[in-house]
Amino acid sequence: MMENVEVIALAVIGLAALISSAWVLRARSLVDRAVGLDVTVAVLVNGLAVFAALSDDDVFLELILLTVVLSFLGTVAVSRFIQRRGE
Amino acid sequence: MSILDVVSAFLFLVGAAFTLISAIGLHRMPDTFRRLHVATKPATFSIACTFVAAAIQLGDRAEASILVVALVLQFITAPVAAHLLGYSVEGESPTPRSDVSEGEPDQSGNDPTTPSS
Repeated sequence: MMENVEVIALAVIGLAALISSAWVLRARSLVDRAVGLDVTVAVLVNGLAVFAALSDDDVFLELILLTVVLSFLGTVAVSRFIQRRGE
Repeated sequence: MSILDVVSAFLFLVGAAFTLISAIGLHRMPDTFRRLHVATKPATFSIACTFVAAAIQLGDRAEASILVVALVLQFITAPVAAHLLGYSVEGESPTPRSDVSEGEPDQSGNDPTTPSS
């Protein structure tokens, strides 16, 4: 029962990952692309959490922590780059 | 199947649904600022639901505490990242809202939608 629910949730999250990756490819400006990458990383973190519960493995939890921190640092770096591009 | 299993199954499904909503919202929103809204609020809510469900399902204090730390980190960093991205929008939104386009000037006296760079 629990496994079925987790697999269904993983399937929905995989569909969301496809849709947000399509947005990253389709976006017309750099800010839109950064927003799309932000959503894609959020989708990835969701999938990792569901997979951690499904596989009952510790490794995915540290992976989640690292992904959250790296996504924040990446977004900050991209936004500083966009703001200073014209200088 | 205990009541905790029911709660965590419900939270898994709600989190997955909100993840899908935030991915679809990227394509549906007409404007970069509304896309930023969709990138922070539903995404953070879905992460909260999924993490709580995973913490219930893992059922170990050491593992649940890592999830709590990651959740607090996400709640702190998501608005900051969206705020920084909002500052770097250079007047490229196709449908500017007349009530916010005048805007409060930021502390350096610049219009926030057009950074002087």
